[in-house]
Amino acid sequence: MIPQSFEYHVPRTLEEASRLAAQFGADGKFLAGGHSLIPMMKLRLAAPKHLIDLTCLRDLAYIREEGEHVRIGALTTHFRIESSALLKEKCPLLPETAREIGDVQVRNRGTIGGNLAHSDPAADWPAAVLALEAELRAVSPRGERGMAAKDFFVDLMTTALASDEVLVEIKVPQLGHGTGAAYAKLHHPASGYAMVGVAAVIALRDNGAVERAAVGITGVGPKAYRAFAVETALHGKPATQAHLNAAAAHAAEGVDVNADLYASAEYRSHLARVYTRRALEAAVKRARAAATA
Amino acid sequence: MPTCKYDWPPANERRLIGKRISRIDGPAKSGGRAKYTYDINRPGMLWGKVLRCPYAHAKVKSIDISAANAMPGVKAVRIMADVGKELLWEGAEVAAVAAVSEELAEEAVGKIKVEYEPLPFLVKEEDLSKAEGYTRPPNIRKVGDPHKAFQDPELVVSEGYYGAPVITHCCLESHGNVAEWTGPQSLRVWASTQGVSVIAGEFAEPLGISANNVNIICNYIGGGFGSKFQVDPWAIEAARLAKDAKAPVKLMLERDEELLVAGCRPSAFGKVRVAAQKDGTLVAWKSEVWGTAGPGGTTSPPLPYVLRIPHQDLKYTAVNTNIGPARAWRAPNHPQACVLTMCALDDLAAKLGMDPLDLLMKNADLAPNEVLARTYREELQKAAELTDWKKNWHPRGDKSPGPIKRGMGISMHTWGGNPHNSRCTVTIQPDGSVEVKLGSQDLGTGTRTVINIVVAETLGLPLEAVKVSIGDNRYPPDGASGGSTTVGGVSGSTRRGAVNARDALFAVVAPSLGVQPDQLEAVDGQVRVKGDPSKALSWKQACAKLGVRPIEAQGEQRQGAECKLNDGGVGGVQVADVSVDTETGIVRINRLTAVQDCGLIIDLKTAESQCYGAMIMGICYALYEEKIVDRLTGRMLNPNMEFYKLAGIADVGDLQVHLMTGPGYDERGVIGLGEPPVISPGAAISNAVANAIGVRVPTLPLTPDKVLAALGKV
Amino acid sequence: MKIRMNVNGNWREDDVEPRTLLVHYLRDVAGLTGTHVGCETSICGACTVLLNQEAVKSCTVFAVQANGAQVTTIEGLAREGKLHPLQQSFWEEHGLQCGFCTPGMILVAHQLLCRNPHPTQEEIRKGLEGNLCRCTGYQHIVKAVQSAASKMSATEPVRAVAAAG
Repeated sequence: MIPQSFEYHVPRTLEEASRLAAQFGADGKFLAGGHSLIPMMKLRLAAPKHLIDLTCLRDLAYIREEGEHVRIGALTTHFRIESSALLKEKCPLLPETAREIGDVQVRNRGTIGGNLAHSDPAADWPAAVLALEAELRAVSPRGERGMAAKDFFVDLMTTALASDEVLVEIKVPQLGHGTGAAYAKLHHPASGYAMVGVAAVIALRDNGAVERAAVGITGVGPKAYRAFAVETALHGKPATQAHLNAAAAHAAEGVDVNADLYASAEYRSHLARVYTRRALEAAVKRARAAATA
Repeated sequence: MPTCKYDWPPANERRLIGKRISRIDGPAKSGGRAKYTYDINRPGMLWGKVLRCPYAHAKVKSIDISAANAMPGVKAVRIMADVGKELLWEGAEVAAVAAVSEELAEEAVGKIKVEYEPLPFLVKEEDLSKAEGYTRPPNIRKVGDPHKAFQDPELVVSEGYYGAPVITHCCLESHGNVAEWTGPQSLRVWASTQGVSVIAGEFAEPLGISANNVNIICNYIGGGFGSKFQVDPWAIEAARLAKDAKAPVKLMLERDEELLVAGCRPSAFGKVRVAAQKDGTLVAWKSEVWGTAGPGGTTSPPLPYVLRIPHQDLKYTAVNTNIGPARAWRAPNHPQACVLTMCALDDLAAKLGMDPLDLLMKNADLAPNEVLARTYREELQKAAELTDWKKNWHPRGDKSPGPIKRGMGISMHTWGGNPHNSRCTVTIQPDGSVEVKLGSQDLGTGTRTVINIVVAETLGLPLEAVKVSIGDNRYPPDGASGGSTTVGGVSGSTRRGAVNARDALFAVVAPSLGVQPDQLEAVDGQVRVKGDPSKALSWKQACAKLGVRPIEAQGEQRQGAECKLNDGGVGGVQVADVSVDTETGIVRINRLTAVQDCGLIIDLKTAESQCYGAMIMGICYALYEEKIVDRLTGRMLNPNMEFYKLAGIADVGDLQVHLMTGPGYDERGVIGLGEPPVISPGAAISNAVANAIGVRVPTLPLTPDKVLAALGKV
Repeated sequence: MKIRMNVNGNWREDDVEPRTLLVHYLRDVAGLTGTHVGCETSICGACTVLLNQEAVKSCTVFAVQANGAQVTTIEGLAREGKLHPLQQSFWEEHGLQCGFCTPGMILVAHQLLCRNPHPTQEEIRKGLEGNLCRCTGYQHIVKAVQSAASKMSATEPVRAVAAAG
């Protein structure tokens, strides 16, 4: 399980990182926590000739409140997000999701930016950032830009990032009054990846009807996706069990559902519906608690 | 009752035997100082790697090692399968390389060019209709008159299909060796082995040297479970590479190789028909069973399991498949037999409207002998007590509302555990130091600790006063650690050796205390006169009487040896309490309870440990493990721990162990324990799931998709 | 590539290929074989070490990524020949059999107790979820961690790893 040889670079600034990426093109790959990339290299499924280690860019690891948002640096580890008092208060979906990733050791090294940029079909962060309708910010020699989460995940392990672009920040809204969020995940029993992972953010009106619902699903298709059919079925409806059930039934609609050793497409679709319902139930419960708080 | 000179001390005199003693190699292991074969680094050592066949069945058409040979840093390349050689499973060895680093060895393997002629193969055996040409002539046997017996209209008959697939051993330390030539005709091998004293010849013969000159060392081993008895082809090749390269070679398997070729447990699938009278008395059994152990054939699991049902109609068909061959897996053939039998009996109980515990209790007399029958009755009783079975069990199908269904299941099993042959030397030095030596191995079972306890108990010394030396075949030969024979073997030989050494010391010391030797005892660090503790010498004083000559005594455990110290034949009962999420199919173990007998227990802590360890292996094969091979390509789809699942700490609920001790058990002597508790979990858990959800999931592992399929939901 | 690393309190300098994994560096270059290799990658946790006080799977870190860092392996836990309370507890509570997974278990348990000195049984199980054991059934491992927790809170001030937030 030895990777092929490569050259190792440690840029001191973002500009240098970006320049190196442009220089090496397809022969180069960014390295953050490494817990998606290094296993692939050991199994020789990936063999980049140049690794550009971003972890010295300590300025890219932060969690800060700014107005109605929280801004998280791309190199913030899952552990830091899991244990952030600020996030537990302002956007608890993020620590809740972080806690479900891998195991303790993985969470010590893995970063939210690395996880999103790698975009494994069973990674956890994509579901959460989709449901939060987050803004993902990236930097390249051409400047800085923001992308909506729903436009970020393009295909199997392919994001909207250009090869010389560095994801630098994830900007999420604070969940306010009357809003609840939840992440429901079925762990693959051995690998710990998401067989199915559903993140749901629900905002309720004063009369208890659903004002807004955003549902991000991972592990089911070739990439994480917004379950728009579920959301549409909920919008404006009372958040009763019957409506949640009916909405959850759309979870895998229009998706090319994955089949693998653990789950057939049929079983996985069934799980998608079950876990969507569970995520919705939990989010609604929290939304109600947030409304009365 | 006349006592024999080697007999175990009576219960009220035991100071160490039967107590909870922490294993003596604990500090080495928790301190990171224990050296496993993987950890052995020798001066000038090279790394070995193997090139393996990617096809389930193929012939070698051509092989070119020149590019690998030419690489700087590559010191030896050897062909293991030459042109024309037929390879029978994915992963079969083709060539091997030794290089100065692991990286280089891996690159070199990649540079060996092989052309294969792929051949037809079979890798799936469950569907017999697709296995034509691969089945061996069936084994058929009848007992009594089953045909007639089944015709009785008064009988209640239950029919079902049950089974367990091929699984692997998945030892955490993979297979491997470090081979070093200590002279032109002499070899030293650090081997990850279960048979320190027995494998020298397996190296010697193919290498053309004498077994005398092969030194095997294994001080610590990261799991064996039956897969590390034989000397592997890659082990011998490591020695050949070492000879060619004139340097030691370390060759350890990587995880994918480990799961492909380093052994597996045979599968067993079967249609079972079992009949009983309305009161639950078992009358007749019919089974058609088949399974595979790879290309080499296999034997039937012992059916019907445990209970001698009067009328039996048995058919077994072995299927040859192109997968890495089977090796003994903890309690070979018994877990499979247990699933096929205990699940069938559980279904029968449900059909009878009877509590399965009552069914087993009622038929306990069908056990192979009276001792076991009595043992089962007591163990069933104990299991019922510990799990509050009568209160908690409900008839099949949890009727409570909500998606989570709870259930209980029960199973029983049997095993031998007779001692293997063993020899040891016990040495007492004039300065009082004591050493016991035997070429045994400690797989984590606590062998070192058991030996330490036996010798220290016998000599009246604290544990620290005895040095235990095992793990080297230069010591007297012990048997291999398999079949749960070790604790009986080593306790028998070291008890005798220690008694002999002690008696030799008494013979020297007795005159100075003015008594005959048989009036002495060794207790609490003293040698003293029985009944007159004022006439005593400290151990050191006593040993000083030896002058300059140490005592060296032998001890032997073999059939017919003087005094009965051990026995064979145990029972065992297990109860599983599970919760099943009927929305996802996920099974959760709330509690697994094991009631186990094993005769006289030397160390209660290591004995309990063996049970816990066996139970976790049982949970793993009940819920998770399966060697998944693709029908079309013949390749294993999960040769890694990412997809070959072992239970993690969050997957296991409560494990409860109760060992039967005291009168009726102690006096049987020492009986092996490594295997029995691994036999029942599969059946007990399957029965608990059936009890919870109301329907049988026919085959292990009880993965969520199969549970939902049984419920008709997916 | 030249790297400097503080391993168990001693600085060392070595020249390694970038692709050398931290686990191989520790085992084969630094000669500390207590850290074990048990799986193909990242699953079993037998390779766990502390990297700047954080538990990581050293098979999924390149040695060059640990340049300038402080690494603690199982050999570094004992102080002046005396077993660390975790090492003592794993022995006394029988949290080990073959012992192959033990070094990794102890180090991740160390991490857990630094962050959470009085974990519940559930928290222990969650904290050790990245480490597999084929032998013990885990029950005694949980007991060992609980025992170590009470020993450690009695005798040592616990060094918490700060989580900035």
